[in-house]
Amino acid sequence: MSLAVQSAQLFLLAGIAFLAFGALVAAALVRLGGARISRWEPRARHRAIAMLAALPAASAVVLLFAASLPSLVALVAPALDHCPVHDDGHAHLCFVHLPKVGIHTGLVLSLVFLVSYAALRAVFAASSVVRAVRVVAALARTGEQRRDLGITIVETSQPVCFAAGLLRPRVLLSRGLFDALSPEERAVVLAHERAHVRRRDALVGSVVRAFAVVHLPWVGRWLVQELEVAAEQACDEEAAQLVTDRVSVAAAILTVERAAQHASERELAPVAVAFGARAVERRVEALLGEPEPPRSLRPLAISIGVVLVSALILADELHHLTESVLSVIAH
Amino acid sequence: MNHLWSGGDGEAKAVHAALGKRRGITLNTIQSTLKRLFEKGLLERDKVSHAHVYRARVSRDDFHRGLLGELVGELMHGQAEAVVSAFVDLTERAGPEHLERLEALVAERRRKIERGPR
Repeated sequence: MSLAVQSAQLFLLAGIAFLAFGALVAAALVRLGGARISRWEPRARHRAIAMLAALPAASAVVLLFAASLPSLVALVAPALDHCPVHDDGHAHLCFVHLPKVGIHTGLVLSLVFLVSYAALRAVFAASSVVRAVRVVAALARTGEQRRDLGITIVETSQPVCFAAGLLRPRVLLSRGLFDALSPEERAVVLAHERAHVRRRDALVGSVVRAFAVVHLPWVGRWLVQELEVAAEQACDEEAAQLVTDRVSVAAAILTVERAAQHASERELAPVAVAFGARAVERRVEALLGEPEPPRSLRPLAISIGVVLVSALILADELHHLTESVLSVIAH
Repeated sequence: MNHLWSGGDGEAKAVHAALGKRRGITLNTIQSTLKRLFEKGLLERDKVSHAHVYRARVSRDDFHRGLLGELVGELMHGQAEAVVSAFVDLTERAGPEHLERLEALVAERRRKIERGPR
């Protein structure tokens, strides 16, 4: 096996180890602070969950860069090269001195399996997203464009309303729901969906779902569920600001939910639906209660900044620690 | 499809005159698009003298209903949930007892607001 491939294997192994470290830190944060975060006001909660979701990937990138920093320095300043002090069997995480010994065959096979599995999941997820985007585009092309309202009317009696699309999201409202809602309820529904479009929730949600794959399964599920509820509640709050009445927004949610339930009972729903009230309950109860005060994420951002700078300052130590751990697990 | 649903003439030349010239689409493209939609089962056609005359085989309502079904199926079984932000979930319904409890809470809050602060 060529030295370059052996080196790439070590870097990949280090990257996966850092990813796992970030996932464990995120799991600890969710276990310790998840319940508290769930009570934050929705906009701050949405941002905090997105940051938590990105933590493993971000820590893998930063820690791998920090651990590679001594080697990068040796590339531009050979006098600072420290590698000659190690023997040939050392797991060099280095661009100058490629490792003479490859990693264990079992680990190589595990890496190949992991990378193939992740690639396969990514392909399936991407194809599902592409199919959904195509369906939305077909609905938008063949629906009635209401430029005065900035929406597309879908010709069906099913009571549905949604914002859809990743890069150019749009609001689609069914004829059935358009006719069933009062002007006040329609204003709430459209304000809510326009908030999704303005906030680009579909794009953020898709990125968070992609990040969620590298978390522990229960953490990934929590992140996706909490992000969805936080996005819905943030849009409820924006709609409430527009109509200046939080109770009207709660009532509109229940009107649409009731209409969807009737459609489901009369088998007008497109496919069988699952039953669960958690999201609707949380949204309505939050709107009937007092609004949570805005929360600044500055302390969280400062803490992350301090950790990142510390990793760069401790690059030498991190480099040696990573090589020592790799020497133990790779050979 | 929009042209045919709105009662437009279904001959390729007529479709080209109505849409193609304005949008810069050639007659060949119009013909092949109509043929593809026919093969997909969305259009049916009759041969009148030398030309095919197309008409919609499914109504706009049925077409949209089918697309929504496809979308919800994708949301339930695929990874596309984040692409769609529905006002209320498309794939999950609150049970009747939950809904009644929440409606009672909203009605109670409205009564309180109407009575005003004491």
